[in-house]
Amino acid sequence: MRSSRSFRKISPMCCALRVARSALCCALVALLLFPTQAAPVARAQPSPFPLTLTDDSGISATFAAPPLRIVTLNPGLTEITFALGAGSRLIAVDTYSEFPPEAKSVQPRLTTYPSPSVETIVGLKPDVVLSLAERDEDLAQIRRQGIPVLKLFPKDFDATVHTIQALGKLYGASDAADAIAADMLDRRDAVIAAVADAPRPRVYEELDASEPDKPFVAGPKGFYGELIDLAGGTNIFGDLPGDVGQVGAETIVQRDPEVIILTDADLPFNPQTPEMVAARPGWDVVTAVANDAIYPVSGQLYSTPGPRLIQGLEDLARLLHPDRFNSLSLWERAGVRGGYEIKRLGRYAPLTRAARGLIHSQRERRISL
Amino acid sequence: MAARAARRPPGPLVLGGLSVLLVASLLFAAAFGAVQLRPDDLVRMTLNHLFGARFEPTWRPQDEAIFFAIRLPRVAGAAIVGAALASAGVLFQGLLRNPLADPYALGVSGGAALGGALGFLLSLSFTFLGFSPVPILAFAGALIAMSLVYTLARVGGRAPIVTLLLAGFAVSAIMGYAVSFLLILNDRLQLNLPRVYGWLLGGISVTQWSQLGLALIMVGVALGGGWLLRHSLDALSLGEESAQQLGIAVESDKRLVIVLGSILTGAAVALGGLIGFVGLFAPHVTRTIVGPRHTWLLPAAALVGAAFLVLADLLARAILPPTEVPVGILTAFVGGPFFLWLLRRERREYRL
Repeated sequence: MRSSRSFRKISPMCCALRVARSALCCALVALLLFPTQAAPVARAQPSPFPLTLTDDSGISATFAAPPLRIVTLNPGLTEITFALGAGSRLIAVDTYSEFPPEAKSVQPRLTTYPSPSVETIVGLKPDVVLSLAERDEDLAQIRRQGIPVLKLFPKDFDATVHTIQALGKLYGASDAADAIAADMLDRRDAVIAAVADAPRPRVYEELDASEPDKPFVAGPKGFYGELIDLAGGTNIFGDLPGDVGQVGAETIVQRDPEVIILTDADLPFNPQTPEMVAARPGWDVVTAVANDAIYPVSGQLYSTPGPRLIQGLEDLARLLHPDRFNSLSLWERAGVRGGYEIKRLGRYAPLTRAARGLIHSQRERRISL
Repeated sequence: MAARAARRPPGPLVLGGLSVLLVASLLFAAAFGAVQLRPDDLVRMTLNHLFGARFEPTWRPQDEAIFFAIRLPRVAGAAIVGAALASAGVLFQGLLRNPLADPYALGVSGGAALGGALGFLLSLSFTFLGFSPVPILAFAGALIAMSLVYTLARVGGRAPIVTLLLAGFAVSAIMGYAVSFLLILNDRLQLNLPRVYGWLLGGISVTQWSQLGLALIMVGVALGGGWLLRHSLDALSLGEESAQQLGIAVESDKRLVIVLGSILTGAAVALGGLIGFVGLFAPHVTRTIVGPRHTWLLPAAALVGAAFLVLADLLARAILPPTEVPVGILTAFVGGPFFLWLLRRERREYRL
């Protein structure tokens, strides 16, 4: 009953979304100004559906229409779904999905440890399940029930942008996705250009210091390490084998970081402060401690594969190269040092005007239909 | 029996030899680590530090910080934890007359894991004498689990050995699975899973000298107390009834042994998490050298455990620089094969 109602409510919107996806600039303007006239324009465009997508584990799924009942099992995928204006189509998310704030009200919230409940997911009759890290066996079981599953695990910035575009296609929101993608890439290039000829400070990025004498730190791979590189820093643990490692305090002091980034400042467990770091025995001789260059940040921005990754990159680049970033942006005015303010503002980094307009228009249309 | 005893080296000689071994391993562990420091620098540094010698520093200030503030406390901590685990192992093996008994036999592993997990779970941020919430709660969990086991095992004023062992096993299992249940219930712990897991595998974590002072006092007192009970322990190994006939106050001495073992294990848990194998392996190895008499066995096992864990911790720090390996993995990897070789070499039925 409930599903059919929501179907009726949403399906005209999907036509509009399809329009938006393939429309060029003029069609976009037409959509924004004269929504009712948009449909005929759309029919001139070839529909991408049935759409076949291949996920990151190499498995393909074919969709006859944009999915209306979406389950995400990872906060990053939830964020992307909301950013693409498809948040209202989420019928379940995982327990970690807490951004944007609307994500917190999606019910049910599925536990994913040690594995998700396949029964529950199948019982929800989703049109697609988005997973990042679940076991292939569990996902295969869901697929055997005729439910398409996309396992998307972007490992770096470009792959994240690509994932956003792929989901844009799937949701019939390619224009919004392309706008977000262009925005992320432009801003990334701007950061790279701004720090290109600057000296690269030695950076120590801490992920967890439950045991302060052997913390977990950012290695060269993964988002943490990539953002340090892009932001113009030298990761003092660029020699670790993976994206995260546990290292001894000896090595940290010996490698003498010039900047310390605490992504563990807002952890729910053992959160660290610059004062705590400075008070660790033997750390007083470290350059970053002596220069008071210890910055607490919001770890989510540095590691969640989603549209806010660019915010993390800009945030980090500013901390590493304060002299290279003079124009203060929206969220930065709330306070440069630290990610707390960024988190409190709570919204996405400014999208390009086109993307914002498009998402806005989709929201409007959904309400009116 | 007499012939075998005669072949054993005299106790004082063994203690002397083992002390030399411990000092050598301490020096060795202090000289090496994830970071290479020049040995001659270390000597000059130490002379400057301790005896006010005025060598011109040929080293960076970082090197001095690494050596004195980070490496030395860690090495000393490993020695204390090793000694505590080994002597707790001796006490529990003697008390329970079970070769499989180790410091965690009476529910400690489960209790400490539960306490530690709660420490990760609750957003506490306080320190007590240099200890953060996780070791403090693990220490409390260990002691609570042991007193629970002892209370549960008491029937009519007596705590039979078998009941103690079984109650210890059951309490440990229940608390261990409670940790798993907490992990499933709580997002926060799930997020922290690798850290909780790493902590459960054990690793010496000393961040302040004050921690060592406290642990040293606890371990010293408990070791001394255990040594005073050496005759009771010898008698208990003959069986409770025989011990009673020898005039030993069995129940009160048993309780004392449990209290002392708890203090030793609790101190070890607070500094090192759950480090497996040392407490099982050190007493057995030592027994093959000095025999079963607790007069020599207890101090000798403490020295063996200390030296062994100091070296295992050196490996944990230095084997894969800059990565730290949980020391529990290394105690099993290094200690396990050695123990098996020893068992094979003895070529006789095992006896406590």
